[in-house]
Amino acid sequence: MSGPEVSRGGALPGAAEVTNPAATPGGAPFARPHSLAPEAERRIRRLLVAKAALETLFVVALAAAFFHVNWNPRVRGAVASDGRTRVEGWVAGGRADSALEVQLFVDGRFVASATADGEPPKGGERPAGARGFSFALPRLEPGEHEARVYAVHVGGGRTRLALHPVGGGVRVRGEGVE
Amino acid sequence: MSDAVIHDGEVVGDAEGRALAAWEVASVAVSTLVGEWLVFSLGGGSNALLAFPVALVFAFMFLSHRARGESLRDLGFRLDNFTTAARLLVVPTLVMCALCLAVGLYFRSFDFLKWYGGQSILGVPALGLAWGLVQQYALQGFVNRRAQVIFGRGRRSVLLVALLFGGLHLPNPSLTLVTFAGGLVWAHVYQRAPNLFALGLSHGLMTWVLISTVPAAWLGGLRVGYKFFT
Repeated sequence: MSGPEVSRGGALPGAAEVTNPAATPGGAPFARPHSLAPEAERRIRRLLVAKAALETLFVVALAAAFFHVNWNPRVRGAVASDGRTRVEGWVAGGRADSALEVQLFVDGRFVASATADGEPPKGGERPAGARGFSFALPRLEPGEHEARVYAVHVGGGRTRLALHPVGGGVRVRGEGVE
Repeated sequence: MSDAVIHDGEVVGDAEGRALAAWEVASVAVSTLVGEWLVFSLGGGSNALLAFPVALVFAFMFLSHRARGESLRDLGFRLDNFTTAARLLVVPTLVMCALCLAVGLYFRSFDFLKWYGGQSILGVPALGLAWGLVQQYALQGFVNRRAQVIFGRGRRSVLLVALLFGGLHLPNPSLTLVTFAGGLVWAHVYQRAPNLFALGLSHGLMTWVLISTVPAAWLGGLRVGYKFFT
């Protein structure tokens, strides 16, 4: 792809020019800066540091905003079992004007969804605004299983859903609850 | 400042100058990656958020040109060498176009109006030229010039430009390959005849022909970065 005519690369003021006929076919001089004025170097270095700082702040702000929008650190709750066929508990930390959706998973698999809008189970301490939920366990394979409940948080733009664990897991058996 | 460094018998930037130029190239690459990966994954691809790294990188390039005293003409915004650059570009551009047309013929996947759906027949080339010019400015007017400070003119700096251009199109495999190949040609031509208008035309034309002929599935919807997975 060599052409008969080659243009000059463009010299930089404040920089020494190198004329190197051997470097360009046809012997046309190609001027290139091989050193930069100290003041220009300092200015570019400052620019790079400032840009890196701004970019870092932007990424941190982006990550913080993402966490804030898509995650709800206020969600708290507890899960218990009636000892046989139900998983129930309470959850708090949702928006005051809307009930939280909670989902039941057994062995990591989705089982059912419910709205936590009832009275929380009696006994134990719970914060103001706590709402109760209750799930009927489906028929399970014989043996031991783990049930967990998650509160659903609707993220920014209603396009992302996050599941927050409510309390810990409870062990259940296929033919009853431990 | 330290002494000048010789590469392949050619004087290139001094050690500090080369390190500074390498940092500049890395900085531009990081901004692009922030836009492609973080804004799309964390910010949901919001244009308002994307504007920040884009504005930052263009402001940086502009101020760097000023600090180095580079004029528009130095960068390649000029017409005196347009014919030379166009002559150097015509063969590789036509070869690529012919390859794309052959693929399009074989797969019957021609559609020269599909870019951006409703774009008019005049809007497509205009948009393509503008987009090509912007990319070529960043790639050649900035990256290639800094690559020459690092490695001097020739294979190494051309390869750096092409690797960077291809790498920024990851993880889209076909686009990475195509842009790497295009990067090699465009970087080589820029070093012989720095004319961004000719390169922008070639870039715009290549993009238009590529997406109008090659089956859409091969190009992954031209999506790059995190967007490729969505």
